[in-house]
Amino acid sequence: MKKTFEGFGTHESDPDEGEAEKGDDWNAKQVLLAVDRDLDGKMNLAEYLMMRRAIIGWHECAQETMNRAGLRCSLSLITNDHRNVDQSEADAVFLVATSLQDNKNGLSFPVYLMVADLFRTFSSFDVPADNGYINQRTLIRSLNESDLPHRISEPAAKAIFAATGQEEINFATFCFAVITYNRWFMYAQTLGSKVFLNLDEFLALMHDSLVPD
Amino acid sequence: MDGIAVNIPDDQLAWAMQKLVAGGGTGAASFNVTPAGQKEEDEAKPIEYKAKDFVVNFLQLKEGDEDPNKAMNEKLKDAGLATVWKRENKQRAQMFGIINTAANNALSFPAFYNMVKMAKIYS
Repeated sequence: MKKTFEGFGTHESDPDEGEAEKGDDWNAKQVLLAVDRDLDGKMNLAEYLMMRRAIIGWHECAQETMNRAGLRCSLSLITNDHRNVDQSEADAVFLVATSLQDNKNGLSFPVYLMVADLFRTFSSFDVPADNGYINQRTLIRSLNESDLPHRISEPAAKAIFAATGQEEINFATFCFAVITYNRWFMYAQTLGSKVFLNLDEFLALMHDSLVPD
Repeated sequence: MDGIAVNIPDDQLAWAMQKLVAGGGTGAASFNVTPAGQKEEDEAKPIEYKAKDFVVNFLQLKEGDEDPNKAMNEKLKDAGLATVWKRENKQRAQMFGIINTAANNALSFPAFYNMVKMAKIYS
């Protein structure tokens, strides 16, 4: 059970203040961090339904953690049309997911939840996750046409393509960019700077558990 | 043309509008435009700096001085985000200096994204 909710790990601890302890609400916080698409710190109905769907996928296909075969099984349940997911696609998703956590052998539930949601968004463009690419115009058009909520907005899509400097991005870049942008946005929004971060804000962001060291 | 911003002094703008309107029809003859008043000079007071405004790190703080990042850290902690440390890694500050090419202490997302990407590749 401990490994199931290991999640994204803790923020870097200040050596002067000592290691931060995981509180009783650790599991809930990790799940909320993973499921919170609109970054408001709360779980709305759509996010709750997504979590329920992920729980079904987890219950059907995982043990304490989720391996590659289990991920393939659960991703078929996550996609909107319940299409057959190739193992190569599941491997691409697994690779992205393990880069977000310390344990490289099996996925914890919060990490699985976040990456499964990103996979659901990416596969809604009818593009395979293992060798497919999407461009900015397709992404924005699909987001606007889609009735489904996603964890990426139009300004975020524009910022991401401006940052990558590429015409098209694959699944791994998509996940990495969306997660990085959302963390950036959280800090900028919380501190009221909206678009830019100063040195102190940058240093705080660098301690975040979702930003690579 | 809509995207071009031009700074025209008020008096010139008033004169140009009068000329334009007066030549446009009989009803325009009575049209009068008053230039907008100048901004009061009081608004441009010089900023009075204190010694504390130039404190750049914790080594320059005196005993009893409040932590300059306290308010920011409280906001971050309430939102469940990471906070800035009292003593930060010098290398990270140097990294900020390198990627903030405009040197204006305002880091954009593309600069940050590319730094993180490079760090990930390097590690």
